[in-house]
Amino acid sequence: MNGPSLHRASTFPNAWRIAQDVKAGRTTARSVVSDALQRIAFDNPSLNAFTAVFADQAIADAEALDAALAAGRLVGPLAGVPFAVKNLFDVAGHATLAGSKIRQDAAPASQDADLVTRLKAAGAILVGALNMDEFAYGFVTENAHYGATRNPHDLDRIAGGSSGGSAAAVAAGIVPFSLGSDTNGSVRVPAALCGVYGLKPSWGRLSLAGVFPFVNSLDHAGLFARNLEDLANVYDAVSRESDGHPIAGRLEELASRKMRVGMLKGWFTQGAAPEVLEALAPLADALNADLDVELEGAETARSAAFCLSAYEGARLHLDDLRRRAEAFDPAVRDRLLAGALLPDDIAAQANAYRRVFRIAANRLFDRYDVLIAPTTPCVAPRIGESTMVVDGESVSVRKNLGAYTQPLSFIGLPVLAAPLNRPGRLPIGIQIIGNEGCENIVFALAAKLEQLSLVKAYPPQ
Amino acid sequence: MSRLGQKSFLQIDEADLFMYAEGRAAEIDLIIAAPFQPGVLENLTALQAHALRVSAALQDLDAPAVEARLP
Repeated sequence: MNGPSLHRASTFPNAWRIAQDVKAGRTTARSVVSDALQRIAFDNPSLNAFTAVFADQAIADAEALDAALAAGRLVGPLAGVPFAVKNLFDVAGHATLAGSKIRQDAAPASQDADLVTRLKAAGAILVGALNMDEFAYGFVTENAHYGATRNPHDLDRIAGGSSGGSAAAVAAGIVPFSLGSDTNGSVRVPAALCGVYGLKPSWGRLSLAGVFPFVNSLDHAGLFARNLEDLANVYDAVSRESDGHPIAGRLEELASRKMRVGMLKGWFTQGAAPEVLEALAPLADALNADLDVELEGAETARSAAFCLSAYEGARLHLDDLRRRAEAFDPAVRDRLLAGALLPDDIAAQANAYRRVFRIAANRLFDRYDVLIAPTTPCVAPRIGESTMVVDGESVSVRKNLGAYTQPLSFIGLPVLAAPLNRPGRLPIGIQIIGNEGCENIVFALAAKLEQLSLVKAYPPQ
Repeated sequence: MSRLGQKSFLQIDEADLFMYAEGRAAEIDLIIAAPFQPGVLENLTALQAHALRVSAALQDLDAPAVEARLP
């Protein structure tokens, strides 16, 4: 497109390398953070990924870290690495917008969200807050109040959502990693469309303290990064795991494990664009994956997640829906109002189905260590495109980009979204799915795929 | 609401869904302004279809067998 453009980089800075350089005195945290702030100033007018930039605080934090190093004090593993968060994470002193206009007048957060605190304790420097679908209810990040976030690989296309700003900021090379949230696919969908790695660990694995909720029983915190090593390092820094087995240092060993791999068919390929299916084919061959694998009940699980999201989301916002419905993003408002009208037994049956679907997944994990599936049915749609064609039928983009992600978060499985290695073309992602609590397995398969050069993130061309 | 009688949400015909929405909104003290009604109705129709799928799947199950498999 003509007009907006991005700063072009031939390589991505690696978070781990940045931290090593800062700790060794080859650069300073202040210099690294200043570079990130410059990239925001240059790129954000084109991308619209950031809704707030904490420049003064970031510089102050970087200088404090440099001073600590100069004084010989120990600093954390992410020393001087800039990061940003979806604007539903509390940041002390700032109102937590959650993508809404309604919350512009909310009281400033009194403290940082738990994950922000952990990252700062690890030495990372918070530089800004990122755009999202209002109240995390959508897959597009075309926000009526704060505008659409643009895809760094094609500025005419959406970044995906609801953590669209988080994915775009990482894909554009502005920050090496970011935080997002995933209720129905809101980390995995934008990771796939923007061509970066995204991790939605098992439900409950990452703290949600200080994160504005959407659907309590489905909400997960998640991470974005441009390579697996960074994703693992950030995961190790924020995870609740206390088993003494961090993942980052073990990627090579994990990749050498023998794994039984199943590629999901049925619901997880239904309606997929031919380009998506063709892109996945080499993976199945390389992994010797079983192709005849069906996760029974996936379509129904997605329906149950749909009902539960509308029901629980509406109850969270019922007071505002009664008092000022016109202040919501119209696309979100209509969905929440409809959800408010659902009777309680609809949520009860959705929860009942969760137990049934969990059993079906358990049966598959008796046979396979890890499953793979496409993340989205298509590449990033164009901004403003409200419908897409699935199986010859025109369906809503906003509601259907997460068709393959919703069933998996419904039962809280850990999923790592990885970008297929296709330089120069619009990104397509895969989901690497493990059994509950098996984050090490999804990292293991991702590491194997990275070794085989089948997954890789590229800077925008 | 009279035409709806004792029908549950899942039993309401598409033609009567707006009547259900009005009645239910009044029950929970919610006003759905006229400009929002088409969008709300479209979403409610979709939710009913999703809920029907879940309901049908649960009815098809052999409940004791499912319970027996639970950990």
